Amino acid sequence: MSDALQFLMSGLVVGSIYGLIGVGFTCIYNVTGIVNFAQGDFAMVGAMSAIALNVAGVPLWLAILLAIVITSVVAVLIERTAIQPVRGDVMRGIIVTIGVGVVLQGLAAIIWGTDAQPMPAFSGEKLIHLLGATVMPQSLWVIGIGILAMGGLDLLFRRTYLGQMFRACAMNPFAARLVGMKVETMSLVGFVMSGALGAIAGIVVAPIALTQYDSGLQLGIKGFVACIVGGFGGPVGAALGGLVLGVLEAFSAGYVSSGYKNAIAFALLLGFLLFRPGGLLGDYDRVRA
Amino acid sequence: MMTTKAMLAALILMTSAVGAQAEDTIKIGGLLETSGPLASLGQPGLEGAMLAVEQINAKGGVAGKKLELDNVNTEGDNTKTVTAAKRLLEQNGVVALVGPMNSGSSYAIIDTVQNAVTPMISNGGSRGIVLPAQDKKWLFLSPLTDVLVQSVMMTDMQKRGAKKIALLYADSPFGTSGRDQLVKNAGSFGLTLVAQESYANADKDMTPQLTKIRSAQPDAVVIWATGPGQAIAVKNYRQLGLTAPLYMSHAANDFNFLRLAGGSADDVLIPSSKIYVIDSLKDSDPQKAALRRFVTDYQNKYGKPPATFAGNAYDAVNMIAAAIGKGGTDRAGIRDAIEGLKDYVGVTAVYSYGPDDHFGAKADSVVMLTVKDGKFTLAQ
Repeated sequence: MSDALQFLMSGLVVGSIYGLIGVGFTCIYNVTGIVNFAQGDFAMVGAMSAIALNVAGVPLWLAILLAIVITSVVAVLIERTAIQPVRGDVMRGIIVTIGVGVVLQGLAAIIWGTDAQPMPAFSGEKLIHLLGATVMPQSLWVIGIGILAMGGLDLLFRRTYLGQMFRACAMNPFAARLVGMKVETMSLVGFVMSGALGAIAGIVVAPIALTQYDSGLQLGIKGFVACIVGGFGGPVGAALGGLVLGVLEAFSAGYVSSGYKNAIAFALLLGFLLFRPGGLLGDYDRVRA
Repeated sequence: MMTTKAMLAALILMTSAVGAQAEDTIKIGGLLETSGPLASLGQPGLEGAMLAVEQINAKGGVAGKKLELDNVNTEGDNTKTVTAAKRLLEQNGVVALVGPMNSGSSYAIIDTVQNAVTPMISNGGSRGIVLPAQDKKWLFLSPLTDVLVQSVMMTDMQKRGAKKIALLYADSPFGTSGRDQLVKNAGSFGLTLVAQESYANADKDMTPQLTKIRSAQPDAVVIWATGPGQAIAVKNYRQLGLTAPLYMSHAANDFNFLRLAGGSADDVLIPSSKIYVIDSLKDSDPQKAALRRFVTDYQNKYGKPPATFAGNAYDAVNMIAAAIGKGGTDRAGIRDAIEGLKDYVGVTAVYSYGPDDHFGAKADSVVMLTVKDGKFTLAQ
């Protein structure tokens, strides 16, 4: 029994990690329609900058804040130099983000080297015992930040004027421009938010998972699967999809064999794409219409 | 247009000049991975290899010629390793190879190296690379092998009265080779393997596997893996409140592991070469002087203490050089000379190769280490 509880706990934590990355995908997607395959690399850039600043003597919280700003600036640069030139072409935009991911990995390897880096936990490493399962305090940070990010973005997209403008730009940029919206500015705002969220995700996960120049790749893939499972575009769906994936992985590792972990992720991905492309929560656009 | 032609001509002249110059050197090839998942092994490996070349050339080289190391970054990727090995063997004319750290990459080039009839000393830790020695005529290992260090490790377990042991291994050639050997040999040390679990190298959480291991109530636990994953596994081990003695593989005797695992690494037991405990060695230890020279020179050249992997590649280059000194620059001569090395004092081990033994390293080169306050010390 306590075994099952530990598997569940582990699954929820890992699932929150996937969910956090998945939530980051929705920012850019909901403004431009582009699936940003460099989202995991934003997380890596955020975590690596925070670690480097911290090692250089900057206090942890200030280092985290600066790292979020740095990653947002990186996102802006990417939007201006790589996404604007192919503006309006979603397919090309997606392919560009794959290239951007490779470039970010290469730069990270040059700047920070190829070794994995540890990061101090936010509030110590004293274990918390919960009904026979043990949890690291950092795990609660991951889950908490995940809920905050999901809830905040969901409110933003559904309830605010800015959110409505975002969606309008993605659905029909031409019509959005006709009614006076600045589509380019919106796109930029989307990238800034995505960069900041990615950095937050990477930083909060770093004390648990360690970070190296290519950490973003796997995180990005799992975050993408989370989005597909939950329904692409919706922050709630992304978080839910992440949790489903994480818990399934943990139980399969616990009761069957960890060898099937990635197989499960890709089976979920294929299954949902083939039989339920709208994800668990259904098509995000249709729900809202 | 003319300028392009002129530049091309200049380029051709330059390259042919380089070609002519290379005649005065003996070239050996390196396949060390300086990026990719095993970069933290390959990078110090390359540094160790370059130090060896520098030391040899400072003493006038071998057989009257300078030694030159031509390393291609194989990125821990099997396909890239095959391409790199072919390039070094067929185009660059190397007389011997220093193999990759990655056991998988080493397996991938066995046929390439055998067919090229060129000797290679691999840095992979998996025994299968050179087994059976009669068929793998051209392949040798420089690191401590898993069977060797496991025998020392299991003797230590016996001493501590362990009967039931559990294993967590990485799903990599290094990890599965370690598992196979442990499963095969545990019985002869009076040990029963009550649980075995695996994880993928890129995994971020091993608590489900370790929870299962906890339920099996072992007297000792072994984590057999390479890279950052083993640091996460050790953190998870402490997190779950497991108290049985924790044994790691010889891939954990690495500063990176200490840095990543932090306080969780205290009290783990690691079978290792003597590289980190030189001061605790008896003066009669044959390796003491060689180790001292290696560590001092490495520290001076790179400004940091050497990792085990630096020692592996350093030994490999030195043994190839010693073999060239004895057998000349003929590839078959070098091979026979490596096989003929007896009691060669390296920094990782004292090596004695033979027609049936391409491992070289012997058990008395292995000591048990533990970690106290973030530092390696001899285990009591």
